[in-house]
Amino acid sequence: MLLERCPWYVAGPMLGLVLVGFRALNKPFGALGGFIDVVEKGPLWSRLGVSGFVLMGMILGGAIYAGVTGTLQLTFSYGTTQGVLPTQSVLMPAMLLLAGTVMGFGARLAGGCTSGHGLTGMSLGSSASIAATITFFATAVVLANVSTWLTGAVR
Amino acid sequence: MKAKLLGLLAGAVFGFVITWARVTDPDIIRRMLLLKELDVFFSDGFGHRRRRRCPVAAMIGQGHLAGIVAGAGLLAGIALNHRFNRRVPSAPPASVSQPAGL
Repeated sequence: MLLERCPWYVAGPMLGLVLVGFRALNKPFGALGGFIDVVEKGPLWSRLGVSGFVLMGMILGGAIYAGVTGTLQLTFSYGTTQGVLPTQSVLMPAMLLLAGTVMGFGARLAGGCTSGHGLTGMSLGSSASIAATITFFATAVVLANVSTWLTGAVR
Repeated sequence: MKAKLLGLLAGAVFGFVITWARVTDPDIIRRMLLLKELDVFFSDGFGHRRRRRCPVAAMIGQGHLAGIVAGAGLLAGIALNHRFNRRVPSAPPASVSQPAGL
């Protein structure tokens, strides 16, 4: 069953329950907070806050899924997303690093990432989060289509 | 410590579900953005928002080490933003509503 892709009507409510449960801690749920924790407090377990532990939990959750389903596979491959990304061994990591840097800078500037704004912020009715989510999704949709057109990749 | 353990547990469930939903797969995300995997958007809107959340951490857990490079970039971007903000004088408090979390 776990090898089949989890349907949206199962995944959505499960994520919602995680978020509601997390509210009991009166802490915002998001991934970027964990990365910020690591930047500000260092990678030492003893110094990490709740957000840092959430981030560690996400890594653990991915590992548990891969372990349970026997799909754990150590690889540096990121695929080519049907021809959009370069396949050269140097270009790919460079592009990922650059993309990650832009994401980190932008998300910090916006006060949250897709989890913080899209999950926590929107579910609490924050107008700033609604505006941020619309903006980054709209931008991503446009860029995905433009990059597909420019590279002639498979749609 | 209890809060940290709960955070670890919540993150683990979250990471498990997004990995199970294949949202850690760049191809799925791309097809979603090309509006060919609309169910990913639907799951975002069901119950609470989304599932296409920052998949980098769960990717690393799956053994996709390219996620480490993207994660390193994220850390660099955040550090860069800190440095940038230190140089810019802080603005007066805004009256717009703030996001609920990062």
